[in-house]
Amino acid sequence: MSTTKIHTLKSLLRVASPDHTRYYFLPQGTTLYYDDSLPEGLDRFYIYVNVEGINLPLQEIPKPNFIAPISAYPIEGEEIIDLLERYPISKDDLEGILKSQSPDKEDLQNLIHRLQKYVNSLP
Amino acid sequence: MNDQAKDNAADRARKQTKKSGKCVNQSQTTNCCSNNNQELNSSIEILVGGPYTKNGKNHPYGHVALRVITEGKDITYDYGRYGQTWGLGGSEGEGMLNVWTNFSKYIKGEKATGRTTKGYTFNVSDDDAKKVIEFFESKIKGVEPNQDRGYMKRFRIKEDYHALKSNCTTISVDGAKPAKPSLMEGSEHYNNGNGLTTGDKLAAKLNGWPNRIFMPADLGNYLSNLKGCDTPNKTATYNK
Repeated sequence: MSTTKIHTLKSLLRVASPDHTRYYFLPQGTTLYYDDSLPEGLDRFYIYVNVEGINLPLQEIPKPNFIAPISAYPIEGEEIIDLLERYPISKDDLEGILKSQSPDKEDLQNLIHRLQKYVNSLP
Repeated sequence: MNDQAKDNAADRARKQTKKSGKCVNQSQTTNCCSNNNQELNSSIEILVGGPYTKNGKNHPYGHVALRVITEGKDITYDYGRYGQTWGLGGSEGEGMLNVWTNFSKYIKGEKATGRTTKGYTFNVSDDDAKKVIEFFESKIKGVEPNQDRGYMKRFRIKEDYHALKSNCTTISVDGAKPAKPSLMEGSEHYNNGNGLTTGDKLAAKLNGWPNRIFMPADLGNYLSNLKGCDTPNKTATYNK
């Protein structure tokens, strides 16, 4: 019996492009398969992707046991406002992000202040 | 007594003191705890993260980072495998240096693993603290951060990470040495590979056991047992 552990995303997960110049989101409901934790304090997961209708060329890995991860980290504090302004996220997505947060008092105060400004700016 | 002779005498006295735990040979010219009359307004803190258990799995290796507090700055240097990895058990990888300017954010991440981090603080002069910052700045000179989260910038440094030769422990110690040149004198007896499994130890021996402390737990043991002038000025425990 497999002992692999999984996590199913309860909210959007922000992931950085390999060059860290852009951000994308793994959707709520994506299943992450736990691989390992590194002593630096990070957890490593893999995901399965069914690729249909595209023939992706393959190459040998450059070194034994080579892993090229992308990084994911939480959407923090005021970044939620930027997210609202730049990405078409749903009410459920926003709710999921807020629920997954553990902001400190200062972050929360700033967030409420900016959210109020954002709401006031809406037509 | 000329300057060289004074230095040599002070060095001998400091070594004796370190061994005995008692300050010896105190005089106006050779004070073993001498700071050359510099005010120690800055500090460095060696942060030794312990093992932790998560998702039912033990993670015994630990982690080390170096914090510098000086002249309105509070910077934590945290080196590790935050990028590509390769080799046996992912023991090698891109050398990634995280430069944190918000200590609370750094330690929050460490606490989130469930581990306990011990901080060993040494008071140093502003000039010596500056040397530590310069050490790390030389590592990232001309390198653009490949991640910028405001309070933390991540840099790919020239060196690759290597579990035995260039890891979080070795770079933190190397970074502390410009401010505390004698810090690791006498540390070789603590180089026991605490935190490694029997298999890891065997692999390390086959690879060539490093001649310096490379495991966080060994560094923690060493720092906890420092005596005399080299005793940390303060210790702290960070956990949930």
